[in-house]
Amino acid sequence: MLDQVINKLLPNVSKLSDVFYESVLQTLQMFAIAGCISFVLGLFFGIVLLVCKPNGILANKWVYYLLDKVINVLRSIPFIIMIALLIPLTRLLVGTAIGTTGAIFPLVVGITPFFSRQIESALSGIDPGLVESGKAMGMSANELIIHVYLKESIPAIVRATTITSVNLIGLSAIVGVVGGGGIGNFAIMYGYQRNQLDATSISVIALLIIVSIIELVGKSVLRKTTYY
Amino acid sequence: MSGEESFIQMKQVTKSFYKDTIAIEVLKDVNLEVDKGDIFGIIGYSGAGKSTLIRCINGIESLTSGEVIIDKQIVSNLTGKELRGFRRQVGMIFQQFNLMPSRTVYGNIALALRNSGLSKQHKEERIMDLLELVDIRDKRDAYPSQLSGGQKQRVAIARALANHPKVLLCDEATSALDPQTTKSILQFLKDLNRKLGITIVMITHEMGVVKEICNKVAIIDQGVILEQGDVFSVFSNPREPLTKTFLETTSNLSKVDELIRVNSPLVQLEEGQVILKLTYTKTTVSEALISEVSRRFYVDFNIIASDIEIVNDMLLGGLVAVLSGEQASINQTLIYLHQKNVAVEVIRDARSSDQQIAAECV
Repeated sequence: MLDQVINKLLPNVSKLSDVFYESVLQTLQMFAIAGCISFVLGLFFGIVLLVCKPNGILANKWVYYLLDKVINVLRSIPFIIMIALLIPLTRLLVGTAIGTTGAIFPLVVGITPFFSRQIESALSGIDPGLVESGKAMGMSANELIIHVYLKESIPAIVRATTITSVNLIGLSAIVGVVGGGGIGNFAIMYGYQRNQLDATSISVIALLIIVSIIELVGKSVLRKTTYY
Repeated sequence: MSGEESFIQMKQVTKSFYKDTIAIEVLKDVNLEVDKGDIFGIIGYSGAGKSTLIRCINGIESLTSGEVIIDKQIVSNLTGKELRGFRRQVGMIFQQFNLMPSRTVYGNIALALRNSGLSKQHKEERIMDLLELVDIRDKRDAYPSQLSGGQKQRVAIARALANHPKVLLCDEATSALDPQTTKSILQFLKDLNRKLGITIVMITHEMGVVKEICNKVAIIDQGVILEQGDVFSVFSNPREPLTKTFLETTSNLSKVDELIRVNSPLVQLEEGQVILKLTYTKTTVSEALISEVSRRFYVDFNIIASDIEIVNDMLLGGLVAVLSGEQASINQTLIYLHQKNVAVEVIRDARSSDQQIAAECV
C-alpha cells in the first residue's frame, strides 16, 4: 500500500532510493566534518578579532587589520567561484577536488569567515563592565576570554552557531554543482539534468527537515543556557 | 599622616587619553593621601575624571605619569602577573554591580577565589562565611537576575572581599539604588570598615553619600583635585565655589536665597529686624547658643530654615533666622556670635544706616 503511494508520488526517486539515502548521508557527513573544523577555526579567529581590536584586551593593530581584511575578501567571493578557485589547493591538500572529501576543504574556507564574524559580534555583546570586574579580580587575558567572554556569551554563541549551521547546509548543497556529492548533487544530477521533478522535491524536503532539526536543537540548547 | 607614609598615595598622577593624535588630559597632577582605615570620598560631577582616578588605584588604567603607592608597594610599576596578584588584594564594586549573569551567587564569589589556592572545601567555607557577612545566605543558588539591586550589591561586596583585600574601591556603588537601599548599603560599608579595618575609597556625585559615611573627602573637577581633607573641616569651611555648590545640594539654607529673591512673606522684615545666616565652624552648636544669646541680650530668634547634620560625630551646618530686638542688643549679639566661632552673614537688613555701619565694623 505504502509502496504504491511512494511509487505514484515519487516515480523516479523510488527507483533511486539507495542513491538518495547515500546522498543524505554524504550531506550529513560534510556538514559534520566541515562544521566541526569551522567551529573550532571560527571560534579561534572570532576571539582573535575581538581581543586584537583597538581597545581590546590584547589590542594589536596589525593582527586585527590583516585578519579583518582577509575575512572581508573571503566573504566577498561568491562561494561557487571560490570552489573553482580552490581546486588546485584542494587537490594539493586532500588529493582530490571532487566527492565528499574534496568538498570539505572549500566548505571550511567558505563558512569560517562568516562564522568568525558571527562569533566576534556575539562576544562583542558582552557588557564591558563584566570585563572590567574580571580585570579588577586579577584575571589574565586567557581567564577573561574563558571565564567572561566565552562563558557569558554562550547563548549568543549558540545563536551564531545555529545561523551558521543553516548556512553551511546551504553551501553543502552548492558543492553538489561541481560534483561534491550530497543532496545538492542528487538534485542537480536527477532533478535538474534529467528533469525529474520528484527528485528535486524530495531534495528540498530533506534539506528542510535537516534545517528544522538544526533550528530545534539550537533553540533547546539556547533555553538550557540562558539564565536571564 | 604626621610624617609617616600614608597607606595609599597618589603622587603627581596625570592621565591622558589619545583621540587620533589629540591628547585629552583627564587627570592633572593629582595628589592624594589616604590613611589606613579611612573611608575616603572623591566627589565630582560626571566627566570630572573620578572614574579614571579610582581605576588608577588598582591599575585598570595605566598612568601617563606619576606614581600610585599602596602599602609601600609602587602599583604603577607593576605589570603582568604581579599586577594581577596585586589586584586580588584590592576589591572593587561598581554602580552596575557587574555580576556574571550566567553564574549563581555562589559561582560569582567562587570566580574571585579561582586562584586563591584554597581547597574546594575551604573555598566553600569561605563563600558561606562571606554570604553570612553580607546577610544573603539563602540566595546562594540564585542567579543575579533574580536578585534586587541591594542584594546584587551585597553579592558584589562579598565577591570583592573574597581574597581579604586591604582596600575596597567603590565606583558610584549606590548610584543605581533607591534611597532606602542606599542607606543600608552605606551603613553596611561603614560597619565593614569598623569590623575589618578595611580602607575604603569611593567616588560619587552625591553629597549625601560623603556626609553619611566618609571621614575624608576630595573634590575633583576637570581632572584637578580642588581641595581635600577631613570631611568636617572641608565642609565647615569650604574654600572652593564647587565645594559650596555641592554643599548646597543637600542644604536647605540656599532656599532662603530663593525666598528673598521672590520677596516671600516669610522674609518680610519690620523696622529694626535682620535676617542672619549662621554657619557653625566649630562644634559650638552643641552649646545652647540660640537660647543663651536670646536670654543674655533680650533678642528674639525666629528660625526660618535650619540645616544641621552630624558628620563624623560633629555637627555641621547652620541656620537662617530673623533676629529682632533693641538695636544695641542686636549689635552685641552679632559680636558675641562672632566670638563663638559662628560665621555670621547678614542677608537682609531693616536697621537704620548708622547701625549697619556699626555692624559692618564687626
